[in-house]
Amino acid sequence: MSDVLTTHDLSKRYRKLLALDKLSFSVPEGSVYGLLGPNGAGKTTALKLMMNLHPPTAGEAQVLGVDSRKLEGRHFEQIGYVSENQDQPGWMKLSYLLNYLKPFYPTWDEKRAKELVSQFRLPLDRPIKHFSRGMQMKASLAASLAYNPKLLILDEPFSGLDPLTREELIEALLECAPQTSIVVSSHDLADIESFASHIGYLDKGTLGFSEELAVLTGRFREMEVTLSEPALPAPWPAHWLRPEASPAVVRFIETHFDPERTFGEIRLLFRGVTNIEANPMPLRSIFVTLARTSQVAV
Amino acid sequence: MTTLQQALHIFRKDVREFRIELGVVFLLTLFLVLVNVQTWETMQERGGFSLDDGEIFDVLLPLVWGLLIARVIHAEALPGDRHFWLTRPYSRAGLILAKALFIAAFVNLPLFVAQALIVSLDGLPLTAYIGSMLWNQITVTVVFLVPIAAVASLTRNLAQFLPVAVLATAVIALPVLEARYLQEALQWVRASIGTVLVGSIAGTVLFLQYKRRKTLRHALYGAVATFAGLVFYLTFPQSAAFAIQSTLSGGRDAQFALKLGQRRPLATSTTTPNRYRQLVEIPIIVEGADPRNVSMDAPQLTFRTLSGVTRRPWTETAVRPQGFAHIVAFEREFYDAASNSPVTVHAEYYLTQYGNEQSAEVPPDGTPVFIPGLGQCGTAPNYDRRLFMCRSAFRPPGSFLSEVVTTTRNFDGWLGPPITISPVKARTYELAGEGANPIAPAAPEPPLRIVSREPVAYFRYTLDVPNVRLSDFTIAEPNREQ
Repeated sequence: MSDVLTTHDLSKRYRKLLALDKLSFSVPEGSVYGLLGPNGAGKTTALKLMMNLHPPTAGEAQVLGVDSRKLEGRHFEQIGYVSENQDQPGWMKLSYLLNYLKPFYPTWDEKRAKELVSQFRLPLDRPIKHFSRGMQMKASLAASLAYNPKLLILDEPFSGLDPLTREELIEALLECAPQTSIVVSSHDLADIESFASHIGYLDKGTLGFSEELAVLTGRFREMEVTLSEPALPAPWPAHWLRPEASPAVVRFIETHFDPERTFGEIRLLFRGVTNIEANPMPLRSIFVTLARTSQVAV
Repeated sequence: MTTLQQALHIFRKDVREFRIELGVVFLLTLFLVLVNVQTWETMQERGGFSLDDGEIFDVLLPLVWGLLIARVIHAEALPGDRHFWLTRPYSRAGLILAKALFIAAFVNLPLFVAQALIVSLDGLPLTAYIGSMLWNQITVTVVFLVPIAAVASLTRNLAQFLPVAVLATAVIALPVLEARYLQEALQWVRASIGTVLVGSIAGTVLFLQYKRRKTLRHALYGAVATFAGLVFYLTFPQSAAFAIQSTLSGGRDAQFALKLGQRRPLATSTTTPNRYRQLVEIPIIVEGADPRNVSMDAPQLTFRTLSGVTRRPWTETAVRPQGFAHIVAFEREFYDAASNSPVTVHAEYYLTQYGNEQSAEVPPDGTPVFIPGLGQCGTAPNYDRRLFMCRSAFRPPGSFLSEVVTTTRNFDGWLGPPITISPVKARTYELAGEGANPIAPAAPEPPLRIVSREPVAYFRYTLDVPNVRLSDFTIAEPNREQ
């Protein structure tokens, strides 16, 4: 499986602010890549560099095999970009917008466009500027899915939307996911967790990790160690996060869980281990753990 | 979609989006025609004075065009990263072509049609002015439309556009106003240089902005180039302008000579001599040519005493039957010291010679006659006498000679602003001998003979006259009470 998007040491500096620092990751074809991170982490900047909306300060991004700095009109026939920050032509009615965009795309699917409008229950005869935020996002998504793009980039598409609208958008994305590779940025983990196949975590412009969701959730465990002789090992391993100790129980987050290695390491470092429990963590907990660890580190 | 198909597709979208604004522009253009059309009879009834109601459109239409151009370019704004079109398969060539098409269709074409209608409904022969109309379209585009489009391409909304547009208009207006009031034959050279500068700077910024979208960088280029262009324009030497004009007109040697004339008899002055200055009138005679067919631009006079002291005083040039007269104001101290000593006068002139004279007869009864190079001419009653009136399109009526019409000699008309909206310009002249031109003459009068002419050659002329005694040419201060 080839990559539809790769970045190598992609960096962006706005005067003194380093918004993105040597971002390197890749998005396999057919995957749904969730780019996670708190507000101000650099997600939108990264996506804008990939779309050639801004030039990178250093590094490069390859989008569908094209250097992002050389992306021009014709390349966008296969790329969709939906962002909460995008200005839509508000004076257009949705029917006019779809008819206007249709000739730009050789792969425009009229039937699909109608299905999407119907699926999203969008009014065709109302100017887009009179749409609610959720409707605008749905209209934007419909106008991007109607030509079956090879790559769809979504920047915070669910931000501020009601749960029902989110579900509708996710449903539409899942329908196109096999043919369309999707990169979606969000700080809302619950939405990503339900349909992302890959996850990248960005904080303060730096990529914390980038891997398949199954691998990620597989390597994070909430560990609970019951001891007969309470004592914390020193030095504390760097990949064990947020330790909490009570007289007989120690809890921490294992970030590189491997049953054999982790259990062996616990038995080696602690004395009087009577019980070890390794509990799987939801993505939200992993995200919170990473975010808090990052803040403490600051 | 090919680039052209895409341009037409975007063009149709823009037409739909700005249909209300387009309606306003069409309505204003229609009013321009309605207000500006004046028959010869209407002008006669108004005593030879043209209606000036149409002048409001000379301001209003460019203002509305500017806003329309800004709006249509901002529909796909180039600065910023939020516009939807940036991540759609727009070709930049298609986009700029669409905008150019829009401006051509809704600014250039309506103006062209409106001006053609005004000229023909005014009774002027349209074929005689086709060239001027096309040239006007070029200057309107280069001096106004392209710079406005360039400013719009560097801004993302009207709030950003308006202050920058006002500033750019002020910078361009400076030389335009200078060109309007200098009234020099050579001025067209500098005006053309200014036009080329404005057009090339604005065109380059527009092209680069559509190609590369580096707004800050291109705004900086534009500002620096505009400043440099303005300095170049304002310091462009008269000699260089003359050299260009002379080369273009195939320079030849002057077939006439300029000489120092005799002093005028000094009239008895009732005014007290000025404590600070002394006026001197230096007469210059044209020999070998009809003095009426020679005009003088930007004369520079230098006075040098035997001891080497030189003065280049303030000089005003007046037209005299034999040629010209330079009214020179010397500072009192210099005059008193040098008035009775021999002084060398060195003068440099840029001269225009007129020729290709064509004679025409105009009936004195008010029936207009079209004279090529001059325009539509005839008489018009004005209170208890008659005036002679000429009107022409895109340029004021040209230069002519007449025994019965008093004209400002050798005045080729001001260049005017580069953007001409209301095309027809009229000018009135006094008929010689007020009492001899009654509104109701007792007997049939002979037709008025008018000789139109055009500039045929340009010369740079240097005159050196030694041993001039300034006191021989002294004139009195004008009496302000008279």
